[in-house]
Amino acid sequence: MSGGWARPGLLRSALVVLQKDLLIEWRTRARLNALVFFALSTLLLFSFALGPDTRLLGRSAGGYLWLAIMFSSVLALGESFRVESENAALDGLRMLPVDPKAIFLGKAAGNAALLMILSAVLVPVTLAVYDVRALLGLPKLAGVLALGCLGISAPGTVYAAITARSRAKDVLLPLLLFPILIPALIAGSKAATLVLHGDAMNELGSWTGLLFGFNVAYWSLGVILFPSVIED
Amino acid sequence: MSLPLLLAQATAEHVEEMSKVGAGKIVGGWEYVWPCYLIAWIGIGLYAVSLIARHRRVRKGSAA
Amino acid sequence: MVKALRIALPVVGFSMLAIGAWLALAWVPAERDMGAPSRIMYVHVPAVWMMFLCSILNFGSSFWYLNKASLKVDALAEAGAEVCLLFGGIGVLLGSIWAKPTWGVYWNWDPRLTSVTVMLVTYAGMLAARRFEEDPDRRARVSAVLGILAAASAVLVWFSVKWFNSLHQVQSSPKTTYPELVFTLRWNSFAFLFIAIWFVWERYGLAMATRAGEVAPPEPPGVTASGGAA
Repeated sequence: MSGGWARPGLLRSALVVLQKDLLIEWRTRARLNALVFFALSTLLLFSFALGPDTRLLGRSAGGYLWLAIMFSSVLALGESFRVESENAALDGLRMLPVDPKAIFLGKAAGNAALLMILSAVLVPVTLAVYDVRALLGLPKLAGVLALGCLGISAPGTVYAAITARSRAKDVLLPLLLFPILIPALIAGSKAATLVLHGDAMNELGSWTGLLFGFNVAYWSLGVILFPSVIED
Repeated sequence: MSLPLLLAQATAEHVEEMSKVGAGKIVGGWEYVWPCYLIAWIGIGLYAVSLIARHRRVRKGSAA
Repeated sequence: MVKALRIALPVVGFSMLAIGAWLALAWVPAERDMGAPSRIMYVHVPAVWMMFLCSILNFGSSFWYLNKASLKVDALAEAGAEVCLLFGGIGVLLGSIWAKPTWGVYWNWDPRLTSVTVMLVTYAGMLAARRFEEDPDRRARVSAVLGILAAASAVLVWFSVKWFNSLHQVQSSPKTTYPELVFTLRWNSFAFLFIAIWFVWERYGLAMATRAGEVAPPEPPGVTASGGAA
């Protein structure tokens, strides 16, 4: 672009997109509430499906926590692009022109923030319902959850943009996203279980490392590929 | 019974057993082989048929 | 020339497949330790190889498409994905049947089996997503993005499942290779290769024909260029 004014940098524009998304999220708190209640009822459903054996529930608490976050993430991601496509707002953003890379970074960061808020609500409930304590401390659990939420939101934002205009988006998004998330689910559940029940074999480092590698791979792929998804 | 005879008998039994199940060897197993070949042939054959059928349909569609 | 090759490929491929079945089921001696189930290898391994070839084809064309958009490359990517799904499905099914007499279970979270299965699901998802996208350009772009992500996820799943079962047994069954085994495997691989090339070719032609129908609305009879070319 050879406009008369300097184009804001990538990170600046990404921050603006993020602010916009968080503002929308704040104004439509009802949606966030619904999301939280969906995730909570998922957690409860898992415990009903397994029966009242608290020891069994406690052992698998880390996995269930992640499953609840992942199921809700599909709803959150789908919603985040419904807002954009309703008024062709995405086209407007691109016309401004905002760098598509910045749109990706902003939206993915917004989705990650949303998922982190969600998991912050879910953690105390998980600890109570499944009767576990974070043996290695809550800060470590928060770190694992933050890494996982970032990992979900990067590929999730790309897939949500892909399926946003599709007729069958409600089916397509989980169909495309869930298989991709398997490494994050494996690493996240393992890491969460280790934080909850103790890390006798000193494995936590390699699982968070895998989670970190997942993030690096999908955030960079997202920055590279997202522009082709939303260009027209 | 003398010791050599006992040993010989034991060895014979052992050899017989070895030839049946033997040290980690797998005996038989044809019931696994046939389904595999059938699956491969049927899969490849059905795909070939579907390709030809789809070609026909497209050709008809563009001719009509 | 091209037309002759198009007929020769399936004829040669399927004849070689029939002879290869005789080679694998009767001619070649059974592997010493594995017994009869070792004969599954002669279809399982070529099927998996074809799956990898086709996934490389899909990844290459996806990558190429994002650099230089062309409907032909998109058709090649679509053909690669579908044939990959076929051979991968055969390969995974046969692999899990082979695992039953060998490891005692059909499914044991072996990294190879798992990552290939996940990759096949991502390809199935890509083909499903293609069906719901009407605009040919956007469909091609989206499926190129999905193809690259599918390849990336296959690598990541492989590593994660490998770590997931770090206590897993080593899968090195002592492979005593002998000339008959190598020859049979090679013969069957070429049979599969010819059939796979023919499949991709025909599927590519099909994709191009469908595309022609989409791009140009049905013209009045007499001026069609594609109608009588059969």
